[in-house]
Amino acid sequence: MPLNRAFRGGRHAGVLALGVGAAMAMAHAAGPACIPPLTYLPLDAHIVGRDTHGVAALGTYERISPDGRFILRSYSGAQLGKVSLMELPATSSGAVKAYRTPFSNEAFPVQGTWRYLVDVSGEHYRFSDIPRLQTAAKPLFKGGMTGFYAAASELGPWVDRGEGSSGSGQRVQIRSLSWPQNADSDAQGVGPLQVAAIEVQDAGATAKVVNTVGPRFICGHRAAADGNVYALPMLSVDGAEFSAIPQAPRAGQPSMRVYGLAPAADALDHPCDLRADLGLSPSKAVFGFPRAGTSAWLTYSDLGHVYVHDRDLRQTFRLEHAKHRVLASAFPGLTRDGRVIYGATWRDCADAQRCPEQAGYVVADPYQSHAYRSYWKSRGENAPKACITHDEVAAERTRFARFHGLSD
Amino acid sequence: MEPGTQPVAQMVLSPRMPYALQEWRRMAGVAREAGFHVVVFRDPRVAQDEWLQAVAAAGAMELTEAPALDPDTGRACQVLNHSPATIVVRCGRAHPWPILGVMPDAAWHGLLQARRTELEAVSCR
Repeated sequence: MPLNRAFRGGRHAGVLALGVGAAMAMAHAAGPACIPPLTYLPLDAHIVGRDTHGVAALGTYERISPDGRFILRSYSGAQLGKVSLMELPATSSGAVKAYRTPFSNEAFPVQGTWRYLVDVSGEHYRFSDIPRLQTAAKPLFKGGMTGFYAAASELGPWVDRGEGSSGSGQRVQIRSLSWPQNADSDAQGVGPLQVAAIEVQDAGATAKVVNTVGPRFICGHRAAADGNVYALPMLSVDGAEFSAIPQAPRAGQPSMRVYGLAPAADALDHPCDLRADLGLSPSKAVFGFPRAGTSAWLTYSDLGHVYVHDRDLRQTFRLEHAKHRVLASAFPGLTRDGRVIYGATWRDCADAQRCPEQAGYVVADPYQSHAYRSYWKSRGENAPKACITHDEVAAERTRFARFHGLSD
Repeated sequence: MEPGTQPVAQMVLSPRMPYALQEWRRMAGVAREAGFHVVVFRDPRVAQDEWLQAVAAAGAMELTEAPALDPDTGRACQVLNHSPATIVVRCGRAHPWPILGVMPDAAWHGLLQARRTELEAVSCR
């Protein structure tokens, strides 16, 4: 039976109500120091290889570094291997660089600092080794969660620590979350997702796991409200929350939600308290960086458009496109300064013959989006932030480079 | 089982989503073992040649002929944001909640059965 027929006859067949035809005009920068509202950075097919259409290979499952300079991407294509590390230029006139890695698809960063990149085997590599050594990089240690949709974050207080990524025997605490692939099925009803924490002693040339907590199933006590199966889990940048869609909620319908985790790295139980409900089922909701006194924003894609969600305002803002036939990837990311970066394909004009498809990355300033400005205008108030400035971007790039010992 | 009452798991797959093609055979096997007929659709945004290359790379040649899902249906049914996205259908009635993503066997089996039970609460006639 064709799926469309099934839905026409379905008693529940619902239609996702999305606003379409929204104004596409780009907002103007609020001042000379603002970054452009939207920047399109095409990939060079000579560097990344071509897909079967002859378009530069885009890959998928992009993870964005805190400063927006690097993108870890899976399924990179034959020319770059499975997982590659892409480096975006400091200015829109530069070229995107590519580095090979030793990773398997779905490798992921330790969010917050990107001190380590993690292969799906649980092997942790020092981030700065990848652009320097590429496929010759060696793992430092193995630990944490593996499995479907694995994600990891470094637990604070890394925000203001001001230390480098290695040396001095510092202790690093990492929380990871995933679907367990080989967990005891008899214990599945205890909780749907698992969390583990490791403590790492990092001496620079070497690093080792000195303590492990878990893995443990979490959120079993939410079964009465949410069921016991969650989809599309993603850990927050600070490891204090996660987003996911309960697949069989006892009331309402499945929607992307945010739940709290215990702050202590060695916590055995987690509250899984409901902190936000977006009310729809988009792609994976990726966390931004929390700012003092405010909740971290979320970004996600829904049917090819990218959105940011302000949890404190309970408002979602769609980011417009400035090219034709833009199809955004399912994995956008937020930088520490608030930019949204995502992979996409697009055309420079509507004529498909004259303007062939391009693939690359889009950098968007959500504060300059039409939706964000319209919201504040409708309230008769000035937006708390007019734009992201070049200075803010440069500061994050410098901070990240200094942390990892990279040239700026 | 009455004719037409076999539940159907309609899976929409995209090679642009990690694990979708690699895990579909395991998940389809669990569904069939649970009594479901499994039907696969290709994400309509994925071109045919990209699809053929991806299924060959995944060693899943049985997916070669999978038809593209009607795009409007895909949007209406919320099955285009993640892959695999699975709709359970029985007697022409579709459960409104797609099952999203890959997951371990026990969770996948449990969700299929839950959707099926809810559809079985409605007569086929």
